[in-house]
Amino acid sequence: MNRGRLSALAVAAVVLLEFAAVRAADPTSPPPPPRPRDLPVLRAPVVARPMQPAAFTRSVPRDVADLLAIQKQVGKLVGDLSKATVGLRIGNGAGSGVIVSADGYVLSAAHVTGPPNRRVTVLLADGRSLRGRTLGLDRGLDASVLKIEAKGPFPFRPLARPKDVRTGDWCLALGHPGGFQRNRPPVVRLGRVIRTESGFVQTDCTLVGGDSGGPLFDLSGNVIGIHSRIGAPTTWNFHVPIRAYTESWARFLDGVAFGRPSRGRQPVLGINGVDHARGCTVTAVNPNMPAAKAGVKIGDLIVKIDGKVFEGLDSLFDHVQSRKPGDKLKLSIQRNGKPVEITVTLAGGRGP
Amino acid sequence: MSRVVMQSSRLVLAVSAVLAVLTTPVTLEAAAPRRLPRDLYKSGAAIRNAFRPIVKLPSQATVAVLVNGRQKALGAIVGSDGWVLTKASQVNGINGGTITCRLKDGKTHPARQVGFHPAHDLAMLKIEATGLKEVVWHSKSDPSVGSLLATCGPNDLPVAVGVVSIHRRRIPHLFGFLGVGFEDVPGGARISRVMPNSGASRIGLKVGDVIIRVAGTTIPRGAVLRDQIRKFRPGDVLPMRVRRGSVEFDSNARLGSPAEHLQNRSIFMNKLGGQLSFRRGGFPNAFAHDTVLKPEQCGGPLVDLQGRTVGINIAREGRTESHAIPAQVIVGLLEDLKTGRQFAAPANRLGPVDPPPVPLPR
Repeated sequence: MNRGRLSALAVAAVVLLEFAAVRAADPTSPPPPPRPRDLPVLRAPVVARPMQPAAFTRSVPRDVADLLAIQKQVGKLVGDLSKATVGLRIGNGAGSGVIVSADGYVLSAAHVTGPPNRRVTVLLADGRSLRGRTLGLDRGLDASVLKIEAKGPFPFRPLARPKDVRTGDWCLALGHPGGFQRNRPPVVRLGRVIRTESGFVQTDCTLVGGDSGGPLFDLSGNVIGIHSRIGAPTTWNFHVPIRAYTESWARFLDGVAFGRPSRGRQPVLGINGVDHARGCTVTAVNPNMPAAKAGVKIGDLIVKIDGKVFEGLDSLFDHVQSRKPGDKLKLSIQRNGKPVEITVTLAGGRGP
Repeated sequence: MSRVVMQSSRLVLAVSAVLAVLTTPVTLEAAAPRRLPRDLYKSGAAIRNAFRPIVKLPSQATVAVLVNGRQKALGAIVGSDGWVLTKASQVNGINGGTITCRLKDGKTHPARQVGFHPAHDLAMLKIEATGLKEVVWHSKSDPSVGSLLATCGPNDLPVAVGVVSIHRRRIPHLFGFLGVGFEDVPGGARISRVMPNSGASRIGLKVGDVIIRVAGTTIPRGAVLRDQIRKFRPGDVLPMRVRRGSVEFDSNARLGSPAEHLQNRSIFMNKLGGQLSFRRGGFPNAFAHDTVLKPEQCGGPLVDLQGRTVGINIAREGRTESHAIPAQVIVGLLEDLKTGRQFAAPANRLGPVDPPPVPLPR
């Protein structure tokens, strides 16, 4: 399934966290039946982040007391976060989601839920298995909403305000890696927000297939993102930003499919690597991608980009991201101790 | 009177709040950077540095276990007179390799393997040293989900940090992988494909060979062969009888792990972000945590915020999970392992679980 995209793993290329044969909505699929506009909620259930103790907001925990404070808060939240985190079964596919209202609205990822008006099985942590139906989706940001059809109230967690989400926030990722398993509650991971962009949130909460659609929470227990895709390093975990839901809530509830996947528009180099004190060592070169065509080889130590020194793979990634497909990039390489200069023409691929 | 007290306590609160802000080195609100500096990632150096006082003592009870001079695992000192517990499959079975342990003080001691527990994949090593610091177990209960954990190395800072992700449970084992495609023929399974770098290719099995018996079971058709192979784990030796033309011969293939060969999407994603442990399943009792470890960083103590050892890291299982055997399970085994007891291998298995003599390419 979808081999082409698997092999495209590279700097600035990421993999959707698909677990089985579920794909995003086909843009040519027939329009969904109109939904009556009698929905009680037309604004996303958003809450402001309350004042946080200093232990949560310091860039570095000052002492063990700060760590204990973070641990205590996580311990206090975990039960409630687990209750609101759900497993999803749709056709042959599996993913995750999060209940954000007592009447059963669930956030997930577009590539998990697919087109509107599909039947979904929603699996709660307490063992309940409920029927649901998909509503709208944003293919561009990989966001979707569905509704549990049973009668609530359901355990839920509200959305955070998009402006409250900041680089450095401690966060918790929950979900069902590998798909929902009986007797295994949602799996908890702790991390920090590494980047916040208009199109994604990046964290070091490790994700894998099956997590897609699952929630990223802040330390107040509010939803700040939805798991979407990963890259090769364990710190490349990308989440749908919460604004995707707050800004288009009414359209989601109306069952509208909108937005376009960004595939093909992001600059791609076509390598993977590991950090090196002087730059980045190439560990993989993707065939038929720009780096391979220009002659970059596994084991090359990239020391400069366009004549400038840089720090590690992430920095190289940022540099590639700042350019456009078709742009030329000059790489200064140490190969077997000898300097080599290579000019690469960036291609277009799927970025975060 | 009470009003005064309240006011003064309010005053104290106000002062401490101001102090807290002033003494914070860099508040994130001050200037949110576009990208979080690497040092500030969850397991970045600055964050691990906050764990320095926590691992101060347990790191002295941690060793690096080297085979032929290369670090293959970490280990926990579980007896001051030279007892070291580690992950068995990382150190044994490496054809006559010399095992040494490097302590935090930099000293290296030759080690020999004494006890072995195949199910938990634990080995007890003995080094000739006395007066060592031992790990302090916390075996009353497992750490709860969300608890912060540090993986100790024989250094001032922990190797990495994380939280408990899943309470303890049984971790199912992975199927062994022979590396052949086959079709049914009368009296056996005829090999239609041999995968490169597999156990099958290493013993020279060829397309057209017919496997007629494995591990004492006659193979009437392919499905039986598949079921038989699935009873074994990666690293196990599978004895088989093979017919090639008019000749029959016996051979032993070392089974590999499916991850090395299959292009399954789930396996692919789990390998994103680093190498996994060769033996990473089939544990009777383990809890999962989200600490990103390398295979050679397993085998050592995992401590809570009090510096107590709550488990031994036993495997890097996937992109999201590392497994640890709870302290409670381990303390009950220590004395037996020290006496050199070789625990029985679980059913369906022939030999000790150990890596193949030739490392499999990734």
